[in-house]
Amino acid sequence: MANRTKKAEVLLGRQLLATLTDVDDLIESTHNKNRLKELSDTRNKLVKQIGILVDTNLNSASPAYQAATQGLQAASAMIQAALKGMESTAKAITMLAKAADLVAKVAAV
Amino acid sequence: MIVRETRSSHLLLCSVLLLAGCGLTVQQRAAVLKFSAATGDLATVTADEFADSRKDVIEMNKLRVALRDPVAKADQLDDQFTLDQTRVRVRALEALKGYAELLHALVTTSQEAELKAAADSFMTSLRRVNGVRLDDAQAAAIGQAIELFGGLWIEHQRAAATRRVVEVTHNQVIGLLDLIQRDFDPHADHWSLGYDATAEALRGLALLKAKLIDENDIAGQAIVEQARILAIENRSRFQSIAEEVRSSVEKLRKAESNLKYALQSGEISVEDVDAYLSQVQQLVEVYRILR
Repeated sequence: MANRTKKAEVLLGRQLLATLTDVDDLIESTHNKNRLKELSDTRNKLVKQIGILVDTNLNSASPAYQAATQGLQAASAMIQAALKGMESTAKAITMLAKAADLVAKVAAV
Repeated sequence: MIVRETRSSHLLLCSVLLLAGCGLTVQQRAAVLKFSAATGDLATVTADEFADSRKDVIEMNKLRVALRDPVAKADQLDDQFTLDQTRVRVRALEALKGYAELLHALVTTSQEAELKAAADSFMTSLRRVNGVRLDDAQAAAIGQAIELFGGLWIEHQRAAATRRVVEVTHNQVIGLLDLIQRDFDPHADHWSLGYDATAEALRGLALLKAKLIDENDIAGQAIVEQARILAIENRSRFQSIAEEVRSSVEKLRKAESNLKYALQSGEISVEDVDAYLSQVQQLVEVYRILR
């Protein structure tokens, strides 16, 4: 039941948009001023309702986007650490070379 | 030269041989490169579209305000497509692109030149130490061994880091793709609905005003016609781009799944076997000189 309700909620905005489109098409074929006024009021309500729904949905998605951003930034930091680790292998050998130099200098004294 | 084979030198050779098989395979590297290429495509197109969608909505709402739409607000032309909403999405795509670029670098970066320079520097310093006597062949072999071992150690680090990062990040990537898919889904109630609804609001308003506007109001009629055309053009443009985005999302989803599978898989290709044998040969030659 919860899944069916959720599915109906997900489709609601699209149903409202389809209704708005139908109302707009009716406007195109209507010439009566009173009828046009009624259709105009109806379309204004529909536009407002869709706006509220979209606003709610975009707000609810923001935390998920932010969480994804943080996760990916953390992963990038992991990779940067790994790259530094790889660079340090060559640096470690260079340090050994310096150590050997020092040994040579000390032995020569 | 006859030298006793020591147990420790055998163990060292075996450990190094094992290490030679611990790097990324050809397929695994290819999977990372495919992933980073697919990510670049998606991130660029989609980030641009979030920004362009917002601009379009502002443009359409300006016309709605000009045509006295009671629902459109002059101080809220971006409607639900606020800077914050756009930014949060663009930032996620930038993070995805940054991650893919770094992953590409992790797999392709070479320390060959640095290792060679470090090994040469070490050998020069070692030969200066009193009591150390090495002929040219031995010095070259030691230098080669250091480069080889250093290189193998780096490949091991590379492979371990790549597997760890992809494993940890997989769900984040798929989750983000689901969010983007939904935003550009023509049947969903998120970003694409907001865009479609703004375009339809403008189209309907234009139709209504066309009925009410005075025949002699040429300027008014021009704005109404401009509004009607803009609504239709924008909706058509967005539909094309949204389809492109969805197609890029699917491509990236496959690349990500392929990448995860490739890194978990033990499959090796003929090229991997050749590379391994070549490394073993190099090791054996070095070992013979140094024995």
